Amino acid sequence: MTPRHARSRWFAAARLALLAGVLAGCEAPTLARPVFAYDPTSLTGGQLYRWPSGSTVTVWFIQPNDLTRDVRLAVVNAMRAWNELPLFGEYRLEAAATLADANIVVLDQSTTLPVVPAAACPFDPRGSAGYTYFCPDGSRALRLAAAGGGTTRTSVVIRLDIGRTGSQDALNAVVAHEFGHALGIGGHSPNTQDVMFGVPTVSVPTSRDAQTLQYLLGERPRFTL
Amino acid sequence: MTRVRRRSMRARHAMAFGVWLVGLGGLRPSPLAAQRASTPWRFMQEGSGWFGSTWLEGPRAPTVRSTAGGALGIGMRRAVREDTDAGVMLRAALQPISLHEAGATWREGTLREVDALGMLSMTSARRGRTRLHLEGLAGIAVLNGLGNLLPFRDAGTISPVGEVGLAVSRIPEESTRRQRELIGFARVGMVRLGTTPGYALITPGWVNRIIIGVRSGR
Repeated sequence: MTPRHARSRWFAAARLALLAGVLAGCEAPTLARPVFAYDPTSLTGGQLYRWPSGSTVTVWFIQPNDLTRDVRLAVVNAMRAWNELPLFGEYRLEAAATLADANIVVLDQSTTLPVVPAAACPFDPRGSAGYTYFCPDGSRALRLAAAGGGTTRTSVVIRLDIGRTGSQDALNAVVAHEFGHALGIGGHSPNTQDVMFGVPTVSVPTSRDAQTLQYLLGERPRFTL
Repeated sequence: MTRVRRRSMRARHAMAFGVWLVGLGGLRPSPLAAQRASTPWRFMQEGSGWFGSTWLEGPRAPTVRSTAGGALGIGMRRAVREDTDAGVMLRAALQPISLHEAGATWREGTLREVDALGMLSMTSARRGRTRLHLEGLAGIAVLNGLGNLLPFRDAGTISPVGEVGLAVSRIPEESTRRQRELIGFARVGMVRLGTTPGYALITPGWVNRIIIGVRSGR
């Protein structure tokens, strides 16, 4: 190789090294999570809770003898709607294979509870159409004991009063609302169009519901479910 | 000027700069041009490890990362000058994706990437029984497998991709048979992750990675 060739090689090497430096210095794609549209901790005294990131959350429902409303339909609709919202796979709602596998149990007030509420946290539905129960215990929620004895994987109970819902649509709205609480929205929206309004009339989360959920999924929780 | 527009202009300037840096000198006509028609295409195959890709980050967002992945590729190359080879390569890579945020880490499956690349390799002087090569690759990448997850959900299906780096080969002993050539290489690579129309959640950017591997061919 002649000196001219050698100089050319080194010049090419220097250009490549410089290009490698430029490439390494380029910025990665970025994103900022939205801020909440309404306070997701207004019912919990500022305590934020949610499922651990990356969780598969299993759901079991019990259809009451009263067949005028379809609990299965309401639960499937709610799961589908809330599963649309995570941006990073923070949770995934799936049907549980058995009651013993369920993280969340959904039932009507006419059904006997298959789990025993914790002594530290009274089970107090106060006659509402929907009620979400869990009991914080340090950095995570308690796994509730089975009614027949033994342990379960259940930490959340959604208790419905189907008799207080006037239609299937109303039941769908109540179930969707309670799922919002079960996923970490510990507050109510002041906007009547939101699923998380105190008396919900819609069953599909709005952009405000999505914004609030996506915000809290990125926050460090006070305790996990 | 918005942050997104500034970044977009910066990316265009970086690309123009890159084209200038790599140059097209290796493709200038040479005294060997007459021999080129008879220069055979040679088959090559490579395996590589991919390290350290950050696909997304942000002040209030998870860091989406593939810490280690792997790829296999096949291609063809031929000499275009005495000391320069040009070629094409098709490569498939798997990259397990993990996310980190608020003290938590979770896995979200495996990203699949298929690259179609053009390649230029310039050989330096012989040093003992080894040769040093400068390599540049550019082409397109098709990403799939994690369509439910940002940033892949909102990214376009085809992304520009480029790599530059160094390779070392061992010179085969004199023989009447053509021997298998083994080349080790290390490159810095990058792939552009943009957004598709209608989705503007992410600010586009470049994903860097280190690629280390071995290529063989006759």
